[in-house]
Parts: sequence; structure tokens; C-alpha cells
Amino acid sequence: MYTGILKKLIPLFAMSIYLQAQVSVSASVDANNISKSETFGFKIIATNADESPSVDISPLSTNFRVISGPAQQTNIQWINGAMTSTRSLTWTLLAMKNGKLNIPSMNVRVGNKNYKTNPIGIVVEKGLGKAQVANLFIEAKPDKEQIHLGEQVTITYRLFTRTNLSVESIEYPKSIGFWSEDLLPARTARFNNTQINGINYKVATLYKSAMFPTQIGKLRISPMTAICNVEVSQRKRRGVFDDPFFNSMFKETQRKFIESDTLTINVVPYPESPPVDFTGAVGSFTINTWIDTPQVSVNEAVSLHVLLQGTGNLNQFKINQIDFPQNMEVFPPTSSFKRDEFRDQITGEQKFEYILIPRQAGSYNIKSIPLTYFDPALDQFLTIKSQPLVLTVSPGDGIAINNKKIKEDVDLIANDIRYIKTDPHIKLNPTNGVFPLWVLSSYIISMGLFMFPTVFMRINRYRDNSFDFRANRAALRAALKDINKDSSDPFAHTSFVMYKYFKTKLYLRSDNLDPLILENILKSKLPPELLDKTISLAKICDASRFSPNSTKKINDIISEFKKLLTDIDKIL
Amino acid sequence: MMNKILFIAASLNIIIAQNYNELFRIANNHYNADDFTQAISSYEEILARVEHEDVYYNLGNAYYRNGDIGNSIWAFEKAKILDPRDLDIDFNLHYLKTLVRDRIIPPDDLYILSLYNAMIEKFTLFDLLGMVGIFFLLFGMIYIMNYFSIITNRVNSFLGYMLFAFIFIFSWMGFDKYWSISDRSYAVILPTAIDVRSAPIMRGENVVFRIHEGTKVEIQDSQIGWSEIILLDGKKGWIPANKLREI
Repeated sequence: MYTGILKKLIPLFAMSIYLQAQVSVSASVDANNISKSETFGFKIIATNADESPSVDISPLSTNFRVISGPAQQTNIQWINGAMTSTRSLTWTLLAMKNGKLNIPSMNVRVGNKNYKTNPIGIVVEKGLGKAQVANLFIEAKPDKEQIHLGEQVTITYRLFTRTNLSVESIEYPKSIGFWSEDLLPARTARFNNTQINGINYKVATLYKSAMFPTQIGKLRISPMTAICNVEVSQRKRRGVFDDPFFNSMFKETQRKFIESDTLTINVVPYPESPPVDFTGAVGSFTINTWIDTPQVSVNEAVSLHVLLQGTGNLNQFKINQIDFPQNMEVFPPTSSFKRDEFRDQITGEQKFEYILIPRQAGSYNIKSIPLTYFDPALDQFLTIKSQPLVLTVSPGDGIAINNKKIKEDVDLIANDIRYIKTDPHIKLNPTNGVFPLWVLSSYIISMGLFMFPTVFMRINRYRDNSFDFRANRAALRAALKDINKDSSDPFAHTSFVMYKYFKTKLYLRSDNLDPLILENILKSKLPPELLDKTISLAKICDASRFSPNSTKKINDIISEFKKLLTDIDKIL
Repeated sequence: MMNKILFIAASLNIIIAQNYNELFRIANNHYNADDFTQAISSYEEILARVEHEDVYYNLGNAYYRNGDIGNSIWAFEKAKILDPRDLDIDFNLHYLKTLVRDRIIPPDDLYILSLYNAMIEKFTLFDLLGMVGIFFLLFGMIYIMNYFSIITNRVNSFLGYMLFAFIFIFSWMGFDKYWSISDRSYAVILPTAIDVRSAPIMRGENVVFRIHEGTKVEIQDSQIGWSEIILLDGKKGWIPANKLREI
């Protein structure tokens, strides 16, 4: 009976697990009908997923702009004992076109599986009319629209609103061809009341920048964009709560995307050709110089200070090369800059400090230093000069160096980056970044060197231990080689080679071998025929040693010896 | 069979390398023709598959000519990692850093620490590993010379201790470099200016400071869509991850 119930329950249980574990992916938006300035939320939800979904949202970039996201959220619900988990990713998007737009089906990856979301249609209206725009906008206002190269233009971005809002994020404008300095620190927007054409607005300065153009032409400054959370009154039916007292309780916020106008600043050339000594200073400046002490000894260092003060593009130009007297060594100057903001103008002071070492006694005149700058207020170039200085150098104790050649720095006319690399044969293959061979080989060789003594010792020990064995194996080869060597007494030599062969082959310790001893040793090891031949040959050689007029010729004996040893070696 | 596979693999490698070199040549031509956008696209295409300091260097130049300081600094920083002693990379990176608006003064280090950091910066991980390998090689040679009594024990001890010290120092530097590569990640700010927030939430009131294009930051933590950054002077905060490019 229980088996029957189990058989029915198991598929049900399996089905419930299957249904629970089945992953589904869907996409949704929080509004289908929006205005162009209105942001909306796009959410991808993966139900019953063990891990967060990953999505490539690049298909959105044709019609939408991602303002923020993705924000991740995980929810777990228990309903009637069944658990449902959802993992979601949410983006804030802004439509870039009007009309009917489509959020295409997206590829979502959860774990190892790919899923497709449903496409969603969005209707984007052509903005919500001028009234809506006029309620909330960013004004980008330059203090000048036409400037000279290097002249400051101050651009102020102000947010105007008629409703309560908070600024969520700001994307600052991008300007190519300008050197810019912030005039307003990062801070929460502070609103003041103002009136435009009799209408009350709240206004806050979002960003203020001092810009100095570095090139001539019509330079474009991209718009500043901001996302604001704007309070919107809900339309509600008339009822007991329809009283101004409850207004604040029934307000909701809506995210709005606003952007300023694109600005174009016309940078014009100077009205006249710049003087030769003009180094790019634009504004209004003063120049002062002084030395630490007017009297020094030879070879004693003294500091020359040059102070530039004024309003303009300080820190963006150099002072002219100073014509120092002969016999005075000059070290490259150090410089420091102190910025000060005064009524949105970049003012400040820049200090240069030269270390001078006079190499000869006497009175030195340090000429006045000229500074040529363009004054935009007067629309002309002006040249100012510092006071000339006199430095008296006494002989002192040091040895004067009269003929020292003073070297000059090579002045850069303009700063720029260096040219690209054009070697067409660089190694562009995917193996770059792999462990280089030289690094690897240094470790392998050094390991080999450390192991060498051990290996060398072991080889030597092995060679020592196996000497007899190796000699035994090579006995025939050695004997056949030795027998061919020339000798004054060939019979004695043959006899010596034969005994040496048997000594090595049979591991004999004694050097005193003769035919009789040999016969006794070989008796059990060789067949009688070979034994006889061997003993006979040994006897002939021994006898011939003492009677040179032997009947047998040495050549015959050697050839017989070779054949005999070859036969014996096969047996032993 | 194995030989055939190896031959095909080697041939493919050569063909791929030739293709990249051809693309590199085309990208350089685009650069010379002042078509910087196309040059950037070609250099990025090469770098999506292979890494080379020259390609990063040229990419940095192209970004600079296109007015994109942030990406330009990113490319030169990448080139510097691959070839830290190239003078052209150093020059261009130094020049571009003068165009960055943020002046961040790091806290003063001890002289010896500054020297150590400068040394580590000038070497790649492979340089350091190679140097340790060469010192090991010399150590092995001294060991062999001592074994065969070519040098005295005294000379052996002196040279041995000296090389051991070098091996220790450069191994330490190698590990330090490896840890800094694997554990620490740096990035460059891309937008003209960006508000740094105290938490990874877009709210008007949580802006703590503002940084500008081209500033190099260290990434300390990440959340989906957000990165926690720390500046050299210790200022810390969160910015959207798509506003920076990881080096």
C-alpha cells in the first residue's frame, strides 16, 4: 500500500522541485508613455535563479542613454510553503528620440544558460511642452562669447526651478581646446530666490569654470546634464484629505533629466602680430625681482627671485630667458604658483627662484627682466620690466675660476608629446606576456649548476665501481686494439696482450700468468679444442720470447690470436 | 600528426602576427592622416587581442590628439606597465600629467622607501624574476668553482653572501611587484569632472569631493555599477564604474 502512495508522490514531488527550480527571465519598464526629458526604469528579473543575471545592454545604446545602473536587488518570498526567489537588475534610461521606440529582446545569462527577454514598446512624446521646460532648466552662460587666445572666459551653469527638487547627479561639460579651472567647489546645490519676467524661480549655481583657450577657432563646449528628483503633485480625488495641509503627504518624486545648451566660444587671433618676446601671457600682470643679498663672495650662491602677480593665465606661460652676466653660473629655476580667486577671475602669484654662483669678483649688473603680455581690456600688447639689480662680488677665500664656460639650457619653443612608434616589425602575436625564455633558462641552467657536483660525484662513483665490469666487457676490443700496436718484441707483446685479456675477462688478481696457470684456470671454462689452441699459442709466444728464431711467423700468430680470442669471447 | 598540428599552429601564429602588424601599419597611416578616431579604433582592435607597449603608446598619442586626456593617460599608463624604462612613454605621460587639473600631493615617504618604490616602478615582474635567475646562475657558477677549487672558500663565502643578499632583495621586490599587480588595481578618470560620493548611491547630498579627467586613482572595492576609489592623498569615495577605465 505504502509503495503505491510513494509511487504517486515521487513524481509530484519531482514535478514541484522542477517547477520551483525552473528559471524564468523577464524584462519590464516602470512607464511606457514618457516625455523626452523624463527618465524611466528598465528592470530585468530572473526568477528562481541561483546567481545574478548578466546582461549585455549594448543593443539599448541606439535609442536610449544609460543614466545610471545597474542596481541589483534580491527578493525571497514564501507563499503557501513554496519559495520564490527573484534577482533583478535595474537601469535608469533616457530616450534619445521621439516617437515609438522599442527595447529589443536582450540576451540574459544566468549560470550556464542563456535566456531572452521580451521586447518592450515605449512611446516618447516630444517633451511636455514649454511650460514644463520653463519650470526646470539649466542655463549655461559665458561672460564673453568672443575671446583671444589665452584669455579667460568664465562659464556659469545655473539650475532654475519652480518646483522643489534635489539634484541627484551632474555630468560636467567637456571642452576640447581649453585649459579650465573650477571656480566653485563640489557641494550640494544651494537655492536662492529670483525672478525672471515676473515669475519666481529658485536658482542654484551648479558649476562655474574659468576657461582659457589654447587654440584659435570656434570651440564647442558640450552641454552639462543633470538628473533631478522633482516633486510632483499627485492628482487625487476630492476627499477628506483634499486640504493644503495634506499636500506634502501626497507628493511623489519623478526623476527628470535636463541638459544645458551647447556653447560655442569664438577664439580670435590677436589684433596685431605678437612681439618676438611674447610667451603667451594674457591678462594684466606685474613683475618684480630681488636678490637675497647684494654682496657675496666668489663661489658663494645667491638666490634671484622673480615674482609675477596679476590676473590672467598665470602658470600657463614661461618668462623670457634672462640674460645673466658672464662668469656667473646659473642653475635652472624652481617655480611655485599660488592661486587666488577674486570675482571669478583667476589671480595669483607665480615665483621663480634662480640660484646664481658668481665665479669672479666684481660688480655684476642683472638686467631688468621684460614681460610682454596681451591685455584683453586694452586689446593690445604691453611690455613691463622689472628693476635692474646690482650684485657685488668680493674675492673671498675661494679660488676664482676665470675661464669657466657657462652653459646654456636648450629652450623648448613649445611643448608637445613625442611622435608615435612606427616600427612595422614589432612582435604582435598572442604569445606576448608569456614567461620569457631567457628568464626561464636562467633558472634551469642555475638548477643544473647546483645539481652538477652531485651528478658528477655519482657518475665518478659509478665509473669507479663498474671499472672491472666495463673492462671485462671491453676486454676483447682492447685486446684486438692492443695487438695491432707496434712493438720491438712482438711475441712478448702478444703474450702480454693475451694474459691481460684473460686477467680482465676472468677477473684475475694475479699478474703472474703462464701457460700452466692459464690451463688450470681455463680447463673448466673452455672446450678442450679451444683450450689446447690457447695453451699452445701461449707456449709458442713464451718460447719465442726466449728464442727469436722461431719457426712460426709473427703475422700468422697475430691472426690466429685474433680469431682465437674472438671465439673465446663468445664462450666466456 | 603531432608535427602537422605544430606546423599549422606555428603558421597560424605567423599569419595572425602579420595581420596585426598590417593593422598596426594601417592605424599609423590613419594617425599620420590626422584621422585620429579611425586610428584609435584600429589600435583598440589590435589591443583587444594582443598587448604591446608600442600599440598602447600610439593609442595614447591618438587619444591625446583627439582631445581625450583621460583615455590618453590610461593608454600611456598601460604602455608603462609593459615597458617601464621607455623614455618616450615617460615623456608623454609626464607631459599629459601636467594637463591634469587635480594636483594630489601624496604624503611624504622616507627617502629609502621612495627609492625602493621608484626601483620597483622601473622594472617589470619578468625583469625582476630574470635578475633573480641571473643571480642564481652566478651563485651556481661560484658553487661549481668552489667545488673544483678554482676559488678559495673565503672568496666563495664573500661572493655567496653577497649574491644571497641580492637574491633576497630582488625576490622580495618581485613578490612585491606581483602583489601590487594582482591585488591592487588602478584606474584613470574619464569625464571632464566627476563628483565622488560617500556611498554608492546617486544622491545630491552625498558628494564629498570632485575629481577631474586624467586623475589616477586606486580602486579599493566594487559593487555592481560602482567603484570605490582612493586618491594618493587618502581621499576616498564612490563613483560610477563606467566613469573610469581600469589600468
